[in-house]
Amino acid sequence: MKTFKILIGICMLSVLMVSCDDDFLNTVPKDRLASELFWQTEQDALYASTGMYSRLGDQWRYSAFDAYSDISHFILQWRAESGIEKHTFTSSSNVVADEWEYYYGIVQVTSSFLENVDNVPDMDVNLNARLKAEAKTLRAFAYINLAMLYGDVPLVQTSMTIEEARTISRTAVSGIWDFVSTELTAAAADLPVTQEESGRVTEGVALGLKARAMLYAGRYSEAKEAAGLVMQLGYSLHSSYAELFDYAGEGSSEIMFARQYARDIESTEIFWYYTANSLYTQECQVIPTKPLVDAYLMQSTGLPIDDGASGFDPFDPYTDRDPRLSHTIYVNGDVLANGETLNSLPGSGTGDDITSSAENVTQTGWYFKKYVNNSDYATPWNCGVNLIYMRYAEILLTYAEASIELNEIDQTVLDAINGIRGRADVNMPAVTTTAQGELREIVRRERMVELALEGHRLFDIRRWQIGDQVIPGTIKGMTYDDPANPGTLVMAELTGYVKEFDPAKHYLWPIPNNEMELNDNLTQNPGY
Amino acid sequence: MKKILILSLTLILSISAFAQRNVTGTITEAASGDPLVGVTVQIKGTATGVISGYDGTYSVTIPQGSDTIIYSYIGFETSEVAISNRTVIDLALAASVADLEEVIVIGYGVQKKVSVTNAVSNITSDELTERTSTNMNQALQGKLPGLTIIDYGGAPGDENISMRIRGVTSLNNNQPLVLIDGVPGSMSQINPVDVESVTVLKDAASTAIYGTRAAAGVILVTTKAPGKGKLAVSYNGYFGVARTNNNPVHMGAVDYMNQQNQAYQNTYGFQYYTDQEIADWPQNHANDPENYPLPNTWHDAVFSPAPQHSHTLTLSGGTENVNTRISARYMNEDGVMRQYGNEIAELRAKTDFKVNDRLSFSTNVNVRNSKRTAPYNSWGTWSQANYRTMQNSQWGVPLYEDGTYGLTVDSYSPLILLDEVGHDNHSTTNLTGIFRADYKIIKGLNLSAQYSTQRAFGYRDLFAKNYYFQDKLHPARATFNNLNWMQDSRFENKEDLIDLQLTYNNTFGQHTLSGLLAYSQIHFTSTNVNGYRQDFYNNELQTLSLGIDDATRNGWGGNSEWALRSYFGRANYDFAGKYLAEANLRYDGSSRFSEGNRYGFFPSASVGWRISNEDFWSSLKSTVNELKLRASWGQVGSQQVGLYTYIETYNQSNYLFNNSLATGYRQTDMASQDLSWETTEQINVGIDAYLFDNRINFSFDLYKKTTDDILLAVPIPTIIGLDPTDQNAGSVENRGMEIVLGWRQSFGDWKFGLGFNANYNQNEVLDLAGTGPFISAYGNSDWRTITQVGHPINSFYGYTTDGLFQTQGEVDSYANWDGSVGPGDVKYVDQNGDGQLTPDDFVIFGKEMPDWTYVINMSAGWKGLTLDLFWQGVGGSEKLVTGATEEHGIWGGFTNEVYTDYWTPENTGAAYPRPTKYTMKNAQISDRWMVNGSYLRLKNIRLSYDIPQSVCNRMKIAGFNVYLSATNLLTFAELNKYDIDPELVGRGPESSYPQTSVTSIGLNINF
Repeated sequence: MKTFKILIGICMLSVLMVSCDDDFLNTVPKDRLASELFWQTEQDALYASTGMYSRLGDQWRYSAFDAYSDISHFILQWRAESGIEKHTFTSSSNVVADEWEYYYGIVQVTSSFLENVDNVPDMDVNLNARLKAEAKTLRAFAYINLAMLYGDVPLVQTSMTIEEARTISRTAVSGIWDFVSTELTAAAADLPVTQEESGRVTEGVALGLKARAMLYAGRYSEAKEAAGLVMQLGYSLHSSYAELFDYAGEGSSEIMFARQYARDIESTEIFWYYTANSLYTQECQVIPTKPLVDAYLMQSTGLPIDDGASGFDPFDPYTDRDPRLSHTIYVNGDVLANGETLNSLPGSGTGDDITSSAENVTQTGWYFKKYVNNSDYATPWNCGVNLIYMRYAEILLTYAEASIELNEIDQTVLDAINGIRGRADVNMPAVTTTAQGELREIVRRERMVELALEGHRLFDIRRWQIGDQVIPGTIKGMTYDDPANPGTLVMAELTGYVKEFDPAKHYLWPIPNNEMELNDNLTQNPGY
Repeated sequence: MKKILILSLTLILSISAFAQRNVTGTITEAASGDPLVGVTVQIKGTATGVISGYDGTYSVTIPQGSDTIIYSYIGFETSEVAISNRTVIDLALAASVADLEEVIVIGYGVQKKVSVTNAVSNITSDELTERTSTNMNQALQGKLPGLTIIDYGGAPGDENISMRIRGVTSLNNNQPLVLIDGVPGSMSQINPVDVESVTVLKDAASTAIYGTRAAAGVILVTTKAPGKGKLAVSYNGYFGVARTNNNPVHMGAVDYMNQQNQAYQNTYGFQYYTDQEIADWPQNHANDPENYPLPNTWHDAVFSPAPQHSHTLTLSGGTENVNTRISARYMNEDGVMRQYGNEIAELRAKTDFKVNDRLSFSTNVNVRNSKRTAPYNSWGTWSQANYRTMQNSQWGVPLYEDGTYGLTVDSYSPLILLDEVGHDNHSTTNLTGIFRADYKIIKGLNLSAQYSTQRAFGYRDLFAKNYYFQDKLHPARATFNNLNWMQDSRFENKEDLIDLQLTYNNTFGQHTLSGLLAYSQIHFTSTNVNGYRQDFYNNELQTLSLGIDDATRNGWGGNSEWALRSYFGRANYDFAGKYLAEANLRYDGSSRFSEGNRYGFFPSASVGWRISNEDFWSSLKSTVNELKLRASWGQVGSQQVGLYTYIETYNQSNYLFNNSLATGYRQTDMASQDLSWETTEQINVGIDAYLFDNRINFSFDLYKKTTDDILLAVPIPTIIGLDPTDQNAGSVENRGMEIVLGWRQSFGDWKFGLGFNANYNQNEVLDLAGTGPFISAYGNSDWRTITQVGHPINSFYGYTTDGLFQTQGEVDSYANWDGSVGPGDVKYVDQNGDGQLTPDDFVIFGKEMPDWTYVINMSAGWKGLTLDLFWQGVGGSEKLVTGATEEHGIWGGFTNEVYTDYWTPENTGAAYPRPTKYTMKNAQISDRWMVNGSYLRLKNIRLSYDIPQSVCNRMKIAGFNVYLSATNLLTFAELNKYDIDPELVGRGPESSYPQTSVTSIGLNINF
């Protein structure tokens, strides 16, 4: 009986114990932060502002954009990116959905910041204004790309419930440009010219983005005005083009806004992404194409290679070319990071032989050199070089292009173009013409070669409406003296890879299919 | 102390008791006169006992002072016989009616099988040990109607096995709750030799007592009870060899070069190999196989037969008051893929203490050490070595004559990926302790309390080596990793469970009443810590502190916690063994939901009618020995959501300012505050029957299972900018039936048995609360499913096809994949006739979930020899062929022999499209690559032999059984054409560790 009493006692006790323990089911997470505990101090606001920047994209997204244009090619044809490049994609393409999600992710984190930052008690007024201006600048950055990719898009400025997200409709693209312009003007007023923490956006970035947006929108006088304002802020061109994309150039005054990277802390695989197959097999993703290589002028004459007077020798195609060609692209005879010489000719026996059946070998005979730094060779997955979103050269080209379109051609326009062509390691002959048509062609070519692989080309093609001229057809590569048949020129060509372009639809991407399925109020772009 | 001494003495005495006299005899079955094997012959009041041999004979020594023998045998009436002065006692045992006394384990208790009103199925140890299996999942496969176990393959110790009870109820986790002696666990944790019985609770009425975690069904595993009486020692062991099941056959070299030439010709307008190269190739290969290798021989290099063996020693026995059973196991299994292995050493001790007639205690302790070895795999779960055996795998010589590695055209070697890249080993120690007290308050009223704790300590040792390998004949082919690194991870999980139960059971005349009132709580915590360093001095010094001490050092960790609190009860009523009724209630609270949504209420009820016990049945009773009708209804819940999903949280998300790390925080997931239980409601009606002296048993169940408020990561518009978390959305229905049919009979020395069970299930999404459809993937992925109202969950979704284009005219007048399409390419159907192929042309064209799963058991015995065959199959299932197997040489992948039948202008009736290179136009997700997934497989064949009792007696052992067994010997399936195992999923051979066929020889000895 005694044991019985003890047993009952134990049972009663344990029931009592568990029943009193009201918090038993209230498990509080210790490995993450509940939002109720956040937004209490200035430090929280700073944390959240850093959180906004953490959403900025990686090199994959960054340089794939040029592969969707005519100047580079995505090697792996099974990837969705290849469908985008060929323009055989539909609204179900992963890329179309991913870009949408990425930019609206930036919209979410910045909008959430703007909504919540005022909850921080006793926050320094200037800090509050500055951080909000940074949020607005980043959000405008997202909307510029959304507008260029999809045209009319939903204009979201606050956190949304699922219900709101399933009923929102698109805002006309002009409304997006209005919003971007207003926001960036306001943000510029609250931003310093230089930030104590490099990597944060500045007044120059806000105005520069405004210049870019207005150029995209065809609002040339606003574009010119904004670019002009940036030009008064004290930026200058870096003397070496090659250095801009190497570690040495990271602190350059020319670089206005860049995705920040550092080895071992937060790194990219950009070396791998462009590497010659002979250095690392199965890694190279994107390679240059003939339209880009052909766009570089002859240095002595300043003429395009298809001009009979240019002095171009097809048997010696890389001599006397705009030096930016050799800063941007590895051609046969160039020394690779391992000290070997690139030889992509058929039968070369190297890992870069264009006829190799290995998957990631260049098919054009070229590889990209921009951002591929020899110091990253040993650890190609651990690159720390920043990837540039905006640099002063773009502002100058925007200023020039807007002025030319406005037909306000004066010395400042020529100075802007010639400054870029006159860098110490570029040293191209100065432009002297003031004819609008000629200058338009010149500035367009300058954008193509100066800004190659920096993600501008797709949008330039769209706003210049030249897609049907530059995109359709096969991928073409180097023209070489056939080793099997000396004296005969052969052009590398991916004959089975036929790109399409339908001007009626391809100047915009479709709204992602999944978004359409979930929101009846969304309309689709024409042709999809 | 004194008492224990006496107990021990009794024990010793009973073992060494002086033999007074011998009784021998033969035991037969009353109905047929056949000898009965395995009858327990026990001297009443002692621990002395023997088992009858195959010929029904026995010989037992009678201790002094004993005069009664008890003969007992499952399925037969127990008989007590006074010895008097006899030395020979022959006995005919009568079969008990319909296993009348058979008791099965149910939720929080046991019940006589005949009284069960719910849908449950169970098996006992005898049936379990029929098959050689390193784990319980494999041992159970196909054994229990309604429980579908699919073996997706997997490395030793890391088997990927899916268990489904009556179809897929939820869109997320459908693994049933597994309880081992009442404590949540996993099937892979338990030694098959230790298992006494397994019960599967299928309908809601039987599972409702487990409320919150029971939506996908419950499996109760009971370990063997401590033996009573004399010390029994037994050994169970086997040695086996595993081999891969499906060895893909590659196209011949010349065929392959011709096929590739066609592919290049069709895509780029040139031929890759010259006619001369192809013509010379056979002779070149014969002269110089290293420079002219076969296209792909990796499979033979990567896989080899692998030994496995297991040994369990069991000690069991006790006295009147203390009974114990201790088993120790060592199991070692090598992988068919190089460098894989698994090793388990464990001990289980179960002891019952009877303090007095009212109070008893029991303990159950399990200690298990396991070590799983595997090569480091940079792709995580997907094995890169497997992938490279199939993809980017052409023209490499696995190993040259001089022992150096050869590489493929794409510079890969699966051998290097297995042998040279480092290791990823997991060592885990699991400790389980159960302490239980039972107290009989008054007759029929019992109180019991159980406390259990489970701890798992794990150590993951991951070392990635640096290496450099170059193909000696092709210097351009090289593979390397120039940075070695190590990750050292430790975790600890702790799960505490308290159960308190008050049970009542009493009979008043014809009324039997029983009931249960109970409380249960579970608390789980988990922590982990991980360290990383790189750039080690060499590949042998593998200690974290020997890596480089710079900014690349990294350490991280995490912790989590959840809890459940439950109150529940049950009432049973039985009138005269004819009318049966049961009701359950459970009130469950979970920490996974916000306050206010936390508790759920889950009721169930069932009734049964034993028609065969009615008076009017008496005339039929000799034919239909037992007949019962059952019906049940109930609701159960599921809480399968992530932890803390109802709390809006900020996660660390950093950036760089001034080239150094800046801490950032942001929200990543949408919180769903209103989240609550997913509820499954199930209706079941069934019938059980035993006929012709129990020679035939039959059972049939019809069920309908509806799951509401499914917990689902519903895709939300991505415009929200946050990742979706689970919401309660929609409902899914499973309807189906189960049939069990069994027959057993003896003819003289011959014994036969035939068993069949089948499950038919139809799954349909009823509603998605306006959120669907959910499409798994878009773009160029090779797997796409849709979950849409009116269709089964995860139906295949893509194009349908209309053969191949035969003429250019046909191509020009129809919608095309792209501008390169020509005659011989696949013709995808333009469903809406808009002249374009877009997602609007996608349709549902199949599903993987089978309609039918069925099992056939056959056995035949002659004297001590028994042959068992176990067949398993599914019907009404489809598979998508994916990966290299589908791509037929488009990339540099494995190209199956079947693809030699490709389209050319001369071979327009070809089975496969014209070869192409580097384009997926002929490999889109479509019905063209869908294959009938039905199969019938000889899962196991076993020949066993019981050494005659007379021989055993001479050897002074109680029993000796030896068997030969083989698994997965024979498969009938359309998938054989592609050498794809029908049980595989996903990308098939290139993504999964393969299924194996194990041939083994085993011994069971009772001393």
